[in-house]
Amino acid sequence: MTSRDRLGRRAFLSGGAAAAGGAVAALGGRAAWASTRPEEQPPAPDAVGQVRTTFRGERQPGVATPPPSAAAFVALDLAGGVDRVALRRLMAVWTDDVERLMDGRPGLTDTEPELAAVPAALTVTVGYGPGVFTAAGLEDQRPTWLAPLPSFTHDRLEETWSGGDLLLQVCADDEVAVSHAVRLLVKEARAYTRVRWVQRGFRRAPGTTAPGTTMRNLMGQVDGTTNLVPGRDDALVWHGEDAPAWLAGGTSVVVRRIAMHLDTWDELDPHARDVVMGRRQSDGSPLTGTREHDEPDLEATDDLGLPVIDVAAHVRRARTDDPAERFLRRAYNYDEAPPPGQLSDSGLLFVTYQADPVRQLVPVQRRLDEADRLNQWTTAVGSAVFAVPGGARPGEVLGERLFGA
Amino acid sequence: MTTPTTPTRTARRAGLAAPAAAVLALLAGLLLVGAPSASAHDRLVGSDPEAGAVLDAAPSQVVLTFSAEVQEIGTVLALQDAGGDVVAEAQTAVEGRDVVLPVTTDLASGEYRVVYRVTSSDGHPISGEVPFSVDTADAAVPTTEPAPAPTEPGSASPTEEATPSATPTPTQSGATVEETEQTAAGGDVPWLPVVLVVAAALVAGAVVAAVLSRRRRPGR
Repeated sequence: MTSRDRLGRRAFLSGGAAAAGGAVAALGGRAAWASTRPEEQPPAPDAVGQVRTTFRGERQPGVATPPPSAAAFVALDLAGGVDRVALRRLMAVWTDDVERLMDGRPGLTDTEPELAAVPAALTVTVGYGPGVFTAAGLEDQRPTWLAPLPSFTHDRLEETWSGGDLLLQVCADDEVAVSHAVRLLVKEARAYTRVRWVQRGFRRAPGTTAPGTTMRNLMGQVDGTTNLVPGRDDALVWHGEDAPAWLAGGTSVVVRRIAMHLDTWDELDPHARDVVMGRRQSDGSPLTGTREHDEPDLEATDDLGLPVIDVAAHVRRARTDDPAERFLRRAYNYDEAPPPGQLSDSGLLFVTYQADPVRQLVPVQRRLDEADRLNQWTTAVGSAVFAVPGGARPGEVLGERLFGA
Repeated sequence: MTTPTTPTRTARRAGLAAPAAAVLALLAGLLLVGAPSASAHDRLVGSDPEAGAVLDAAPSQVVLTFSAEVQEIGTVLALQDAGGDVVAEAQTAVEGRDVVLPVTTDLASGEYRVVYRVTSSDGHPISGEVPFSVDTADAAVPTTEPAPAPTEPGSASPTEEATPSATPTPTQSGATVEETEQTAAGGDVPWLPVVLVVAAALVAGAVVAAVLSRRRRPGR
């Protein structure tokens, strides 16, 4: 072995160690969310790609599991004539596909089985829009909250990004895994559905930030500091045994597409941005504190006697004394090709999970709509609400407690 | 450009053209650096009562006038007495460029200040204060008796213009009107005097340099 060979070998090994370090960080970040912490051991170089998330259980994955870096939200409309039996059939196909894909195995009809070999923490979460209950003749099972959110003054909703009968939420730490899963599942459903909209989003790539780091959105803000904690706040997210059988272990998901007006946001100097938020863009700390997780002091005044956290600051308007008006946020950034004459088309897929969106989410959205300084630079252009049925227990087909076994 | 010029003057101009252009470029650069944050959003341009006014009767309202229409959102206006207690703060109305605070209490003699935070049309929060006093005991005193520093609110005070400082200070200590534009530190620094002084120094320097270089040239 020449010295040159040794050098090459050493360089390769240290490169591998760096990659492994990244994987450890990614797994550590996941542990902050998941209740079970994976065994500490030196991970393989492809550790990130080989992470598998459990599919079967009381709850569907993709809600309390840590948000991977890439996501696709696919809304589908039911084709005419699709009824309860057809829905049951589609759920059987999807259940089998999802279980395989999340385990790193190809679906039964997979034409690109090679792509399934890297699940990268893949999760698929299925949601039902109001149309499912109509098509299945199960209106009596439709929760009262399963309807479009009330309209808000600042909304400029586009059909292109709103509504839908079925939702496929596909997340993974690898975009190829997401694309492959979306392609297979949509293909399997083509006799029953047509695609209504697809919204893709991203967060930081695995291993790029320290475990437990709150995400940043494309306005630069630390986004989601005050969030529900899976495990601690389960009652606000999940339906229990008192819910209809199909909804036990289920929740609701609201997907809102929030466009950011970055060109005018750019004109605001750092201090003004902080006043708008009530938090510092630099580290997410409230203007009355020094660290991100310090509790904002809404009573504090400055030397003029004016509130330090402005009366219309986002953080003040988003807060509430009612502990029920909280929800689990799991947002993704989006950044699409801009239309002609525009510099960018960027924003946030504001995705929330809550047992009851009308009780928990709507009051907060209403307060923000009334007076939130941030409204000048953000506009909701899409909105959709879905019920997330309970998970597929061992041997079950997803949704069979609704559509019948 | 039809003004006839003698050949001599043209030649002299050509010799000064390069340094003059450099000075102009520098001046333009300085203006650009100083200008954007100040011109991008609205500012207080006047008030009734005026800053520093001594009134012989309590006002029934306070009106602040801004350089452009301000937004309703986030408007906070409060009238404080010398002890800092809020005397009036309810029912603030935004009427175009004016923000109006009705004063329903009959103010006793003493020092007062109106503190405000309004929202510029571009979304920029602006805050500051306007002090005035009420002196009902001696009604003979003219209402607009010169105050310690009766300035156009929001503009640089004469005190500062008289003693321009090369190092801008973020606070206007001693000034009657303190408008704290919510920009980064030094948001309301009177840039123009500073820029003018620096520019004058640069022009002087350039002229000296030009003259020196012309003197040296023949000796080469």
